[in-house]
Amino acid sequence: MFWQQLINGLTLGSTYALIALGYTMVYGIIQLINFAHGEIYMFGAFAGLFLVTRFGVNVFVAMLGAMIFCMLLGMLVERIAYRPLRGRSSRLSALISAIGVSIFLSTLMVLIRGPQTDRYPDTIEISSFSLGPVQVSSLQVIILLVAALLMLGLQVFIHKTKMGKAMRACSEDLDASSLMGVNVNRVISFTFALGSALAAAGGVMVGLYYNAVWPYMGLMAGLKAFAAAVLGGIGSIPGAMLGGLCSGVLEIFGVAYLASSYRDAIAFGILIVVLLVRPQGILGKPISKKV
Amino acid sequence: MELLEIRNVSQEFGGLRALDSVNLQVRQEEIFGLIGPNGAGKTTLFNLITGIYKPTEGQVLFRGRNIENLPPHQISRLGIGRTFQNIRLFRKMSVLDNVKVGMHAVTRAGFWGTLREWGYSRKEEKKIDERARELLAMVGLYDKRMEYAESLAYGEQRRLEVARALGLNPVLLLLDEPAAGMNTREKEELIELVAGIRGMSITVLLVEHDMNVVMNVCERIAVLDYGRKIAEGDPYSIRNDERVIQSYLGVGM
Repeated sequence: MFWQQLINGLTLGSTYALIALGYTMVYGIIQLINFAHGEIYMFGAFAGLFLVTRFGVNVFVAMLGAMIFCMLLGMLVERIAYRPLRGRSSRLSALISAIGVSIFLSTLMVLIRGPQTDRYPDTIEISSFSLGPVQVSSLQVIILLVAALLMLGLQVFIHKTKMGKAMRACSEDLDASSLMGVNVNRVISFTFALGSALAAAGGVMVGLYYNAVWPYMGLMAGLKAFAAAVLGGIGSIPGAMLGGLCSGVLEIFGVAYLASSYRDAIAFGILIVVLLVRPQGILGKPISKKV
Repeated sequence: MELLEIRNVSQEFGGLRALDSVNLQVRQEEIFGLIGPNGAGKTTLFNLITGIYKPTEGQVLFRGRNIENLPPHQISRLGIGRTFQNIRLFRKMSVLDNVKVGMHAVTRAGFWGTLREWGYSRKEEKKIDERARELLAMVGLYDKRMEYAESLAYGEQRRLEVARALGLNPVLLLLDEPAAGMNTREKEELIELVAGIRGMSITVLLVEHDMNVVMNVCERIAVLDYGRKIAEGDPYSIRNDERVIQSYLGVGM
């Protein structure tokens, strides 16, 4: 039972981690909680579904397509809803703008195809095999593998490329970066693109895993991933990965050992408890205020 | 010829006039000092030149071209590098990477450039790496290149800021209180470093409170007080200027 739930939890957690990365990267650079991020994830799930049902493409091709689509969508949102406010008004206005975009995007999806839940057609053969006492489905293996690959790729990107270096520089000091010739707007745009692509991958995989996509799926997933990012230490990339996995595992354990109807209460309850003990999150650095 | 020209520049913050019709010309390859009491507007002027602020009035010309409305990253790419009064390194990055950030920007790492990066720019990367190592050797930090910037001692951090600014391959270098908090030996090393920078045909504009450093390295000096320029000239005439002595240097200097 324990190992079975652990595998289930890690599967769910890895999708949280993919979404949480977008929150944490954007926060790391412009200190904005991008509340529209959950809707980007929802659009990713639908873009994948659209590609699979309309064009009959392979799930992996659909995932790639959804990632590219969401990259553009994320950049567009940043360009229209956040950039014009940057430097000209308080951070709070951008936050409110983000909430507006979130509502706009989910409503837009309802307008496009109605509020009903849709499901991915059975395009991949799902077999399951036992690993000792544990039943693992091939879908779980795929999700864990793809998530691991994407996160590994992200780490390599952040640490080995010029744009990654520029992103790290910007997350430490935007002004100093711009004075070293870094085009800050471009880096921010790229950060949104990267985070949105990861969320889209998560969206497609969750759509497959739970076999359900609907226009408001981004709300709860977004909140939980945001909580995971805070749990791991907002602004920290390894923190978001760890926070996502922890949240997923704890949530599943809560459902398995306590009560399934308290699922969301457990997820957020853990967040509150951890933050009481360690306000900066698991891997976050403590904020010391200058007096 | 003037490399940098500040023409009638004023800067207001709310009701406060931080700079009041300031005129300044910095010539090619000179070391120009900017002094004055705290709050005189020296750092404000630096922020104006580098594009952090847009002037309320007036113009900033660099090589005869108006730059007062350009964004900071474009100004720095034109060849203006700077350091900060309160050190602003990328603390969680290695010493070597700190220097490379500016160099990458100058060699243009764009969206598409990044995607193509794995293909063609290995050679460029190697060149950047070599140049960054040279600069670190020049400021005496070569052996610490793999350490985190935050682990460096204070004086070393200041020198790393200089190396990072030099990574932009600047024509004009703005140094904001480079000697602040340094001991006598470190100050001597700094004076040597500035002389070395000048040897690279880089023009230096320097804000500094340490009169020993200023009088030693600067060829010309301007004095700001309450946002106004009250004097300009060579070190000797500045030291003997009545108004400067009254408002800043004090008697006994």
